[in-house]
Amino acid sequence: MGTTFCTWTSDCPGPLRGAGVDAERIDRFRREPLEGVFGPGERLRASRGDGRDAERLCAGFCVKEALWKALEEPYDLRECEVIADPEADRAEVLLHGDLAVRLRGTVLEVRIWRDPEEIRAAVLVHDGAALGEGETG
Amino acid sequence: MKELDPATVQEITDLVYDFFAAECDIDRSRLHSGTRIIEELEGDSLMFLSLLEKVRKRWGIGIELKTLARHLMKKPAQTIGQVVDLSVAIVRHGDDILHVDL
Repeated sequence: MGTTFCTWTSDCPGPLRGAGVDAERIDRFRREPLEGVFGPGERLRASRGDGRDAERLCAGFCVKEALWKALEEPYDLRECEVIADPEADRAEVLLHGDLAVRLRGTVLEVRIWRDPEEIRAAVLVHDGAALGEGETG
Repeated sequence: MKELDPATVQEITDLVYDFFAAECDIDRSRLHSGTRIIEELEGDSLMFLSLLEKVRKRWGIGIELKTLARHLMKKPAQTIGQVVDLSVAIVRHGDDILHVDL
């Protein structure tokens, strides 16, 4: 995996609390989704059989890992539910359980970059509007 | 704490070695307890999570990932031998692993 550069301008006004990035090869996700990583909704959305399920899982994993790095603390990866559109450069993130409680009062900013073989994600954690169980970051 | 017989410990050891051999596309005979997972095998978190899932499913363990992550922050598993020891401890102690001094 070589060095890549990704830049964007954040449109979130809140102070930055943490930042994380991750990159993974898509072909590593052409297998059964890991139950300890992906929740039931994510596994269901990644079983469409449209040829892009591995991309959804890969993007989801990158976002989860990037959030882990941004928080610098372990969390249950299933509590960060990622709804990743294979065509979009952003993803919807739903927080559940302890993670939702922990991140109440923060805003997550997610960016995704894709190429045919690899997906990269960045997550910024800002202080800001309150997030609760099941709300979108 | 679950008592493990030698056959179970050997099965866990085999699972770990077979896993890394398959994931890293390397002959199992080239792996040894001192093989360094990140530096020599280019191992990463996804690989480790896949192994953990295999161990959890095979022995029906409900250990939480964040529990294990906290344990690893205290005591990282850097070689195959250390991953074998960790896997045995996971099967033996489950979520109580956080209080175990390996």
